[in-house]
This record gives sequence, C-alpha cells and structure tokens, in this order.
Amino acid sequence: MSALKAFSGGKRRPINLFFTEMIIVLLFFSISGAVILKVFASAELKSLQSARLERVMITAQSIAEAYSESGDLTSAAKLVLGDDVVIGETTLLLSDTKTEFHGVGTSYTTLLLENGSISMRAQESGAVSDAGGLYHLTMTFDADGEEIYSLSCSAYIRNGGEER
Amino acid sequence: MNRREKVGGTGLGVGYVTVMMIFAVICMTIFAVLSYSAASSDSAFNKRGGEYLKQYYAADSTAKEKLAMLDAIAKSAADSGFFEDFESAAAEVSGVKVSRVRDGFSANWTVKINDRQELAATVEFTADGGCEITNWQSRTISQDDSGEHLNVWDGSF
Amino acid sequence: MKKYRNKTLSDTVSTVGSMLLFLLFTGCLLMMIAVAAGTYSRISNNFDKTFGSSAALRYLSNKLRSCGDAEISEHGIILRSDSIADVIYFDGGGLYEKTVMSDGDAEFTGGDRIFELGGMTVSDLGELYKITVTVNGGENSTFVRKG
Repeated sequence: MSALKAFSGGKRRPINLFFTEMIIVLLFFSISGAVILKVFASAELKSLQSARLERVMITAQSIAEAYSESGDLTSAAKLVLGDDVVIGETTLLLSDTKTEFHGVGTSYTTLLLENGSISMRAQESGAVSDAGGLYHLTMTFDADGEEIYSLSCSAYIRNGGEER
Repeated sequence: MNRREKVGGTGLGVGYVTVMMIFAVICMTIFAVLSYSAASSDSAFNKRGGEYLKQYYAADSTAKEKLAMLDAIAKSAADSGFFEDFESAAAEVSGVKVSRVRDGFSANWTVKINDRQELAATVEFTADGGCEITNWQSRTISQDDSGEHLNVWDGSF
Repeated sequence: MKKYRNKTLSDTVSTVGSMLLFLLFTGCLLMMIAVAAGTYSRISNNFDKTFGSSAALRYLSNKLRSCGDAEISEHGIILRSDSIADVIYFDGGGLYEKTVMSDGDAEFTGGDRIFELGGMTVSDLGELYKITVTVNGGENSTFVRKG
C-alpha cells in the first residue's frame, strides 16, 4: 500500500485505480482492436473480390456460350452486356498457320464492363478451311491493373464462316 | 466500501472495465473469424467454379477442333466423289469412332473435362456435305464396377 | 458518513468524470460490437446471395449441358435423357427438382427443394437458352447453348 501511495504522489491524493485500469485496458484494446480490424478488412476485401469474380465468371460464361454459337465477339458481347457495351478499338494482325486451315489472323479487342472498373481483353484468332472456320477466343478480365480471370473458348462455323 | 474510497475514491469499482473489454474483444474476435471464414468459403467456391469453367471450355475447344478436322475430311471426301473414303480417313483422327448410318457416317468421340466428367459428341456426316451435331453433352465418367458385387448373403447355407 | 461530509470538489469531479469515461468507453465498445456484427451480417448475406445465385446458375447450366432434350415451359424445365426425366421448377421461394421416368408423371409438383431463390426463368432464344435467377432482389443471367 505504501508503494501505491508513493506512486500516487503522497498521502493526500491516493492512487485512482479506475484511471490506471482504464489506461491498461485501452492499451490492450487498441492492440487487439487493430488486429481484429485487420481481419475484418481482409474479410471484406475477400468478399468484394469474390463477388466481383462471380460476376466476371457469369459474364465470361455467357460470352463464351454466345460466341460458340455465332463465332462473332461483337454480337456475343452485345447479347450478354447489352447494346450500349463499350467496345474498344480492334487491332487485327494477319498471320498464316501451317495447318490444313488457312490463318485469318489474330485480333485484339478491349471491352469495358461495370462502368469501366473491369476491362476485358479479348484475343481472337481463327483459321478457315473449305468446310468451315475454327475460331478461338481468349478473354482476360482485369481490374485495378491485375488479372482476375481468364477463359478460352472456341467456335466452329461451317461453310467458310459466312455467319461472321 | 472503505477500501474503494480509500484507494479509488471514484464510486466505480475496479474490474468492470476489464470485464467489459474482455467481453467486447471476444465478441469482435468471434465476428471477425466468422466473417473471414464466410469470405474464404465464398472465394474458394468461386475459384472452384472458375476452374471448372476453364476445364469445360478447354474440353469443348478440343472437341470443336476434332469437329473441324472431321468436317474438312467429310468435305474433301464429298467433293472427290468417294464419300466412302471418309470412314478410313476419319478413323485416323485420334479418339474418333466412326460408324455407318443410313445416309452417311456417324462419328463420335469424347474429351475428358476432369476426373469425373467428359464431353461426349456425336456428329453425322452425309454424302451431300451435310453435318449435323446429334449429341454434344457433358456426362459423368462411368465407373466400370460390373465385376464388383456386394458381399451379401445369397440364401444358401 | 464522516468521509462523505469531507468530500472535496475534486473528488466529486473525479467521480463524475470517471462515470462519464466509463459510459463513453461502454458506448464505444457496444458500437464496435454492433459494427462488427453488421460487417459479419453483410459478408454473410453476400455469401448467401453469391452461393444462391451462382450455384443455381451453375447447376442449371450443367443440367442443360448434360441433358439430351430440354422442354421449356413457363413453370420450369423438363430435362430428358435416356429413360429418365428431370423436372426442375420454381415455386414458393424455392427451386424444386424431381426425377421421374420419361413416360411418367412429369408435372411441376412435388420434388426436393434444392435452392432458396426469389425467382427462376429459362427462356429459349433459338440457339441459346437464357437462365435468369433472382436472389434477394438481385438478378443474374447466363446463356447456355442447346446440346
């Protein structure tokens, strides 16, 4: 007790244990609160990323299915995302493939989704024979400069790909 | 009372704040763990779904490459006037089984999606250059357990 | 009693201050617990929503991909393959499924409740099916080719 009195500064003003306890509790609480807050933040981030991945996957699947049927990325994107979808510039690189199919080149297109927060890079390549055209589409979805999902699909359109 | 007044003198006992803090920390820890666990489950579920989509479309692409090759073979066979050549030429494409049907040939092949599923395709090619997909569906890989029997009593002693 | 009479102003202020500090601390703790519970509730709802819509869409997509023939109606879908038929329909906040023989009772009644949903429609777009599911007011759609 004498030690406590000494700590409180003398006989007239005894130590206030409530304030001492409060300080210790606040110190401990701030440390544990920081750790708990970090866990909450990472859970929230994971949840948001997961919801975004789910939306992207549903879009990718829908575009892949529509593309498999038509072999046309623009019409597939418009069917899935609506007519007001923002389709960026398409770059076409011509190339030849050494197969029985004749190469028709590779094109790169960028689409913007969810008000531009997600961009979809589409790489399309194809090869045609006398019977039909085999087209490959690789969709890569990026958000915040990071790749979040990628899906490749194909379409086979008969009769030289006249539907394109 | 005397001790509190002597030592604390505030009207509040020692320990209440600590007990409340411990309760709050426990509550928040439980919520944080549950939140993280739910978010992780959600993320894992979506990743599994994403992987399956990739596997399915990879198998679909492989099946379509075979369809394109077979169609090119059928076209050249039909153009040459010897459509019967299709059977031998198509049989050389790996994994493709060809059988004769009424107006031409039926080709069927399977592509593995993953350990449990495969994509089965059946396409009919006719001499007039026609090509009809009669079956393009995913199915569970059948486990051949015909040799296995349950060890049950057969009624004899 | 003697001590109370001798209580100084500083003691009173200290007592009131301690009380206020304690109340403030308690209020903050309760608020933080409420925020934590709210965050958990939001994440949990997101999970339920994702699981409900995404799993239902995947399930229906896979069913359509693996069936031989699909019959679409306003009540639901009948997926026929070999000798059996899968009847999937929406009724009363849930998606129901039952398996019957192809020549059996393929009606949109009975079956097992497989998902909690706000709605489900399958529409025929010619070469594609469009599946739409509604969960907690949010709508999700996907397309599937005809097999």
